[in-house]
Amino acid sequence: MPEGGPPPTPTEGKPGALRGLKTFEAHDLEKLNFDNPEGAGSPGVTPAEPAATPVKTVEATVAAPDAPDAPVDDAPAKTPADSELPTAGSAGQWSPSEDGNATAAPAAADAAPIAGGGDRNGGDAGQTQIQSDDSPPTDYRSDQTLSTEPIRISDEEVIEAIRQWIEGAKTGDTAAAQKLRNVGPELTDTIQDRLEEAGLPRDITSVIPPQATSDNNAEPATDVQAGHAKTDVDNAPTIADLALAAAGGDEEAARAFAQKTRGKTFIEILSEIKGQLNPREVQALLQGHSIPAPEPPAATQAPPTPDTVNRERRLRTKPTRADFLRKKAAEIKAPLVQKVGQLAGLNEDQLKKLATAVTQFNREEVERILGESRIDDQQLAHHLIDAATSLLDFKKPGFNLLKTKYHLARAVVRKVRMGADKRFGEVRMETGIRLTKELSHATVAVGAGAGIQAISNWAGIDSHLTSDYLRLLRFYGPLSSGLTTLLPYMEAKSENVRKIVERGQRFPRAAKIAHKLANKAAWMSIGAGLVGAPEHPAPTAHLEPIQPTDEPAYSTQPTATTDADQSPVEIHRVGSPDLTPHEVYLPDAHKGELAADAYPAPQGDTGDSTIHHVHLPAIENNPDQSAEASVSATGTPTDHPTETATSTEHPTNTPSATAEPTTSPIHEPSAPAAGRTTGSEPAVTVPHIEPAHAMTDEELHKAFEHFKDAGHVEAGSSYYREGYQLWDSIAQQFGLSDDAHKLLAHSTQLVTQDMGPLHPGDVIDYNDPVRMQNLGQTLLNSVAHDRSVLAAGGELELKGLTEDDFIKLERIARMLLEMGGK
Amino acid sequence: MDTTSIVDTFILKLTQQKGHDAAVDTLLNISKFGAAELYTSLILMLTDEDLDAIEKIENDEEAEKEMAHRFKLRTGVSPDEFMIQLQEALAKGYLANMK
Repeated sequence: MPEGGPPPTPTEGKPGALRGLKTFEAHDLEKLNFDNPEGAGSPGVTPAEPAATPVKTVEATVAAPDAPDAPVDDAPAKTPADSELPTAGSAGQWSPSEDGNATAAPAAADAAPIAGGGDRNGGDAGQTQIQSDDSPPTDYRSDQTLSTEPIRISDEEVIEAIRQWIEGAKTGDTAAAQKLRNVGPELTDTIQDRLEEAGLPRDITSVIPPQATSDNNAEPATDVQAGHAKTDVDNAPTIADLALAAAGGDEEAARAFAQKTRGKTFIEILSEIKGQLNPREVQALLQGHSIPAPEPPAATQAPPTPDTVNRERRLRTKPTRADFLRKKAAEIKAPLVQKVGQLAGLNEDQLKKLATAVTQFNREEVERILGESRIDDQQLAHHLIDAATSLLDFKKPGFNLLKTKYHLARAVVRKVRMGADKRFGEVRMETGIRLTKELSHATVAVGAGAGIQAISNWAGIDSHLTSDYLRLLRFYGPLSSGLTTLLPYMEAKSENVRKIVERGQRFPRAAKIAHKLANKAAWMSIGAGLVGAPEHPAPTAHLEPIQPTDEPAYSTQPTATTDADQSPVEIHRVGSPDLTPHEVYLPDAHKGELAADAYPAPQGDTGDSTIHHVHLPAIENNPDQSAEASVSATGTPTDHPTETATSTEHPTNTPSATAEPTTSPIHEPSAPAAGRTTGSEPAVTVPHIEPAHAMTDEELHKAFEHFKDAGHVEAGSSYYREGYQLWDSIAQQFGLSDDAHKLLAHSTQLVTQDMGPLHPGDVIDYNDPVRMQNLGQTLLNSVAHDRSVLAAGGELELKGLTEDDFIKLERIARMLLEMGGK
Repeated sequence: MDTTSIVDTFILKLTQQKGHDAAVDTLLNISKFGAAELYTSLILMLTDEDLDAIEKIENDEEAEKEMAHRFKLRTGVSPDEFMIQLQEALAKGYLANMK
């Protein structure tokens, strides 16, 4: 990345354009691999010195604080607004956030999006991979898997806790009553037997007096069956209820849970759950335990009995998972702190203070200490910019933020699913898959494997430690402060980085063009040379577009040194039309030595710009010429055997028009069906309407008017199905691609999720102008967001979304807004 | 020594030193690095006015041309020249380090 400074004037030319390169030495080539974890580093940055001995020194100073009894309590409850998923225009944002999102997660090796992409409707795509994910998460780089060891809580402790809750509920303690309500349906027969033995009712919810629940606006549970979310209209199930019920295999609850948690991070969900359960209950939930541990007595409750004190003492003295995590966090943070301190030029005393401040999550102190650094701000800024740059995948600004959210959401799902497995002795895989998909769609999953290595390189620590650290981050937001505290500081100094991100947001199309142009230029000047492209073309030659306008895949061809009969390598970009030389290949007819095996895909994230395949151009129309092709188009010296060998396959006559893209990035719209209804129990029947691209605005209005009339849909057992049916019909009528349809459905869900489960007789009022406005605006936001992500070079879960889809969806959105009175 | 020769020599040395596959990987990474550098420069060097104008061009090819043109005006080098100079700088640095 450039180091800043005044932009060169037009007459300065080359020096300005190449600013920042002066520090680039040969050994840095070793560090250029953005994507390959083995070689990732900060380009143009002096490799970080390993934190050797000093690390140990600091490590000793960063002793883990005494573990509190309830580690989750340490997590400062964040309001959803604190860490909302990025909305429109937020892609690429690399904003500091105290909840750890900013540090985020160049995350672990499981950063790759769910295979197959899944779908927002809980379809089948991606099932296989998710199913295999049932085991405890082992897909991090660390060889240390997340512990799934449950909190060991004896039956006696459970009985005792319930006894206290019952006593509390009888005396009007609404919190205790709520706990009984939450836990009651989950009790196993064994526990219920023990309750009876202890003289307590088997159905602990039966003892909840009405007044104990009125404050919470929650009537005694009316569950039809244990494990199901309550369906009382006046008693909307909480997230905790839904999570528990979903974990029990209740698909409806699972859907509701997914709805309610869509777009929320783990911390947000946790915060909400925490409002309903105590920390140990949350912990138990996360651990897959159905039985929450006793809650330490609140100050307002009766003085602790000796038994209670003893129990608390036992709990305190027993090493907990939180203890381990905290210790681990301290170990991991120490090298990071050390590294930052070194960069900042701090002395030993300052380093100690810094380490302490970081351990105490004292951001102000950290900033103060860094402010005492001997080096000036500019030097520090350069260091930090380098570090930040190494964390910032240039083509995916904001990936840290998004990735973390993805993982946090996924972690919740994983834990919920584990809970289902453990408590019911059977694998509710479908529930897990559905939840995972739903939540995974809440974020944009992008590759981040290089991020871990980048952090590790920067900090001079083992990547396993980084993985551990990031894993901790997912579970304990505050523990991320070591890094979180520092990254905003970096960001504050990284004006260029921030400017890039900000401009990418303001000018998404220009950013996309720049991305395309940069990749094209880079590939044509260097990458193409690898496969026998012509001699370095004249500077302006690369920009000659060659792709036929009707060819959806990206195709480019340097023309500078060729004539009509001598076509150089032709590169077909299949998939997203942006230009990352990713999955570059040519038709099967000419898979020569330059096929995939000659250019193995580097290890790393699939989302990275990795050239996986480089094939020769198609020459179906000139098969005879392929064997004769022997020109080393790069002008590679003949004593360069390997290069020459690969180049000899290069055909000399390659009509680009013969190359057939294997896939089209633009989904063909499904053919609309006359009078089509969807679902087994059609709720809405719509007439045939021509696809949107063939419709005038007036026709679109008419179409919407029809749906508006049809909007009064009596919901059955699940309004989602009806909602899907309605919007599925709209999607069909408007000729949306599958992915555009999913985005539409997703946006709809976002708006209607506040409705909660509907019941027979409920009506979805699509005539409600506010709802129409919300739908339109949400859809517009979704489109803007996804579009900006693509523009910034990121990848969407809905990989098939194209500009064509966006245009159609925008039209629909604006229609909705119009119908809503806007 | 012209640019092409430097780069070719660089590739040759790189291949000899690291083997073909490693050299290819390195060059691919240089390509990505170059793209990152150029992308950064494009976004930073162009003015808001430039980007806004490009934003309004609907045709991608024309937008690319306009961006390249404006980049040349702002920096004195076209994107391709930028890349070639980058190549040259990298190659020179590598070869110098070998000596």
